[in-house]
Amino acid sequence: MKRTFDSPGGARWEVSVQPGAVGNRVSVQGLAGELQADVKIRRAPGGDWLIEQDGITRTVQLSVVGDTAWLSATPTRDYSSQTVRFARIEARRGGAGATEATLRSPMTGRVVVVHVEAGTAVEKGQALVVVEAMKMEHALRAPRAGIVARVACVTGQLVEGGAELVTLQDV
Amino acid sequence: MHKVLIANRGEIAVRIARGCRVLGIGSVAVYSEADATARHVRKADEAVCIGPAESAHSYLHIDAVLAAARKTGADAIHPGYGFLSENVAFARAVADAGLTWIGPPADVIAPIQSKTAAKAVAQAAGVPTAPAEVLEDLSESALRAVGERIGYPLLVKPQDGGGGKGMQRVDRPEELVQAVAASRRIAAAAFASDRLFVERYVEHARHVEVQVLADRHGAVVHCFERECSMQRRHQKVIEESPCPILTQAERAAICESGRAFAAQIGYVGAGTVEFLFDPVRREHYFLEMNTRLQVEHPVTEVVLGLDLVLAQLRVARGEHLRDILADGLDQRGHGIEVRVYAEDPAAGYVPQAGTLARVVWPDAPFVRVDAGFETGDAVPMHYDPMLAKIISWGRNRDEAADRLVAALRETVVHGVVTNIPMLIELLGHPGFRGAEVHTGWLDATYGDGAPGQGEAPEAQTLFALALAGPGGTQAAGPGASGGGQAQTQDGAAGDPWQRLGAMRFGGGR
Repeated sequence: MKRTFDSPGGARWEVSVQPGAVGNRVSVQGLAGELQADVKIRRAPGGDWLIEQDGITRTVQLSVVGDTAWLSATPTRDYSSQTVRFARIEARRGGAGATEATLRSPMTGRVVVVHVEAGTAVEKGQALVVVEAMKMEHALRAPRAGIVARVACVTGQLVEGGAELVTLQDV
Repeated sequence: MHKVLIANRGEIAVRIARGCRVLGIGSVAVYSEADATARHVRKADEAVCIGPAESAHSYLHIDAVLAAARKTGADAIHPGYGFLSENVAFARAVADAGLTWIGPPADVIAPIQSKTAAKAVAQAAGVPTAPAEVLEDLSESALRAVGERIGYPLLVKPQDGGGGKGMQRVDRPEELVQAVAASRRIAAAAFASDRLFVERYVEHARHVEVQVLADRHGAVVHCFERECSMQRRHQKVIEESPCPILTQAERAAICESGRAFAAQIGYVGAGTVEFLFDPVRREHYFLEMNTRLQVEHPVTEVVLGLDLVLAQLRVARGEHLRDILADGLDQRGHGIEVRVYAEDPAAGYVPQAGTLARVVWPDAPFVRVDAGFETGDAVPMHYDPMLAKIISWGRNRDEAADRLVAALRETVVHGVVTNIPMLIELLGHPGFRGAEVHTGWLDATYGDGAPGQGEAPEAQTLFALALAGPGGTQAAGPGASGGGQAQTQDGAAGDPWQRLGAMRFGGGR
């Protein structure tokens, strides 16, 4: 089974898991190339995940909220800790090469302007929707160029953080 | 004083309820409909809903707050910071209702609400203010003379304006005439008044503020200073005490200025007198007084070993400072505070709202956490997005900073993006470690960018994502790690009800 995750920094990771010799055989493919290993996983009562590889265990904190994963870990290269949010990309649909990109509301707020409608061609970085939260307006921009496939919000609507606003498809 | 109503929310409401508990005083929380299960509601003895989510109809609604006090029989009100804390009408209404106002009386704060009036009070108290003059004679020779008296660099400002419009910085005498002409044109067009004044521009200014404490019997003391120069667009990000760049003589002078200002207006309770410190001229200038407990009060508390909330409560019930401070006031070591915000620095610091899927605050020696939220709490979109303050103490500044970095590294907040990576970077920055940070430093150093935009995680940590991420398989327990029974994750990971066996009530509490 293979899934694809996006980090907000723009990195895309393909991770897969299958039964392995001593646990799960997992592989991660991303910017740094591919890494594959057999790992055992334990889950602590408090919710930490303990990942054992070649007898060495490291702990990560993982929370899953809908389609989004929050992962905190301490990289061994500098022992600084970080939390990274990953959004799982929807499976590819449509014809060969056709991909969708979904613009989601980064926070709960009110939609004050919708700049586009289905069929509009947009450039990367173009403002698509303006959402107001905590008395500030935030212009949400196209993550890439494309054609608006679907507008899932209307002016005045209260949207939850993570709610789909606009979905793009390839030109 | 038997029961205190806390007219606030978030971490400060929790902090005040805890102070009440120490003195055996009851606490009442008020909450909006958006905060029905909030942590401050749970930590107070009693709680009353005072209206809908919008602050104007709840936390800022004077009649609703007073009604909650009547309903619960509270005999005193603590306003916290923000909201109604510096609202003269509220202070008056509380007193008129026969309740104890935990703060300075309305008549004390009313005369210093305008900056001009406060500056006049400062001058009367012998407290230094930044040199400034209204421009009467606009001839070149007169302007040159004014420039000579104020000193360069200076600012030319429209007297009836605001928002920085028409403001001109002048670095050399020969630029002054032209700057005045430009400023007059803009002022005339924007404010229908071309009156101007000039004031000294403090380059690389430091924000240094003095904590003061006064009782109802005329005694006023200062509780030393804090420095809060690490600011992003005038919002404080990191605060510390003592100010690392002051000599003992400079410290004594600025603290005495703070005390003198408070004494001049007959202040009562805890307050803060803010100054700009000019690191080149080594002079301080009065800015304004905040007539409330400040967000950053804990750094003073950890350095002095003094509980400022307890002091406020004891002053309010008429105790003398000589009793409250009987154990002395000495600065010991160094305290640093960071404000943890639900905001996304990488996306223009957009405030984040949502549910906190998981929160682990640090639990380490010499570290204090004043939190308004914990796992499962909602961060509403309606209010300031500060989640918590984390404060460390050290025998010296570096030790305090190292402890705070370590504490932030073990802090976990899932569900909303926070500024924690940025705080970690700032605490380790040579500019901060070298005590070089002035009020414009953060904006100048990072511009529109954000500190703490780290690299990608190590691939190994992503194994967890593979195994337990959204839509993934998960090991259900130690025995299930062999790639056997795969289970679809539906967001219920960490739900204690899924794991709980038979429930036990009672127990030995």
